[in-house]
Amino acid sequence: MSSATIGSFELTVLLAVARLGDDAYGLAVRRDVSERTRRDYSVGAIYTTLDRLEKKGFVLSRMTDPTPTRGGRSRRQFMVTAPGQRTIRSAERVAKAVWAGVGSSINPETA
Amino acid sequence: MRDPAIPQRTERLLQSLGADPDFRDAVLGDLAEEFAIRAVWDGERAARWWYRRESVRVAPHLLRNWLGRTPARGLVRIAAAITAGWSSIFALEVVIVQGIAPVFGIPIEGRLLAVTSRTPLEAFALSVLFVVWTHCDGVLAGFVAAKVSPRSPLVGALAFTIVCGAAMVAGNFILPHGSVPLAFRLFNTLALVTGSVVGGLLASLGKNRRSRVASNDSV
Repeated sequence: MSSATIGSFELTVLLAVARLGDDAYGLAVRRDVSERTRRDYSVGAIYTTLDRLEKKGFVLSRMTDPTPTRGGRSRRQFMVTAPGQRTIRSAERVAKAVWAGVGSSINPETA
Repeated sequence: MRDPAIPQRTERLLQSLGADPDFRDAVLGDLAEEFAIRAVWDGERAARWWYRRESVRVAPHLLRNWLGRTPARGLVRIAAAITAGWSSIFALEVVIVQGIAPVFGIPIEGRLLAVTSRTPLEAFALSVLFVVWTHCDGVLAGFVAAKVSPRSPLVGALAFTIVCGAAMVAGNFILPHGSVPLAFRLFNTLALVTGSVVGGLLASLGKNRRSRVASNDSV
């Protein structure tokens, strides 16, 4: 089992890869992450994070056939590995535990 | 209807930052794909503007990838580029001082002092001449530094620019310069720095243009 830790942005990107499935490549991941976080991330920031996730063993990448719309370049497609899936589940458990009991006690409208 | 054209120079500059080919192609491919979509939706002009803006944001990640990929080899290449840049300046200085300047009667002795030891008009003319001369030094050095690091030409030129610029700025304040005005010294520094960036850009754009032509020929 992978013992590498994962940062919050790395987790956001890893979740996007898991969500997109077969369509997980840089541009799609960027759109997904930018829409959900409402922040405009650069393509470079996404690939740097994906590279780090690959080094940690949470994702795998493969190159597709070149396409004319990409200037004759290939897509680098990503998929979540088994350690990546375990990390996602672990992060979910931690998040649930951390959020437990907060419920309606937080209300910025009345604070 | 013709396909919208990606800003070629910007793309070539990104290619010259020396990132891992897979990483670089994935990033540039994504930029190209998004550019094509934006050109349809927002127009080619807006898409070009987006491409250039995005390139500025992507460049540090390409540089970081290059450094992270081969830190030791990368540092050796940077050191080689800086050394080559300095050597080229030295060589050019020798050629000018020994060969060209005596022929045209340009006062080389105390190059900077010559600026202040003449009439105002002469001093101004010599100042301009020396600043242009320094700029040419910079162009040559930046070009050579870029050529020494063929996989990442712009990185070599920028490394030379940063080291050389920092050394000159430090020299301006630390070393004694007699009555040479600070403004002239700073202009001189600026001339060298901008020159080396120009030299690096020339080498990078030229290299990528040739490799593109070669790849087109092979197709």
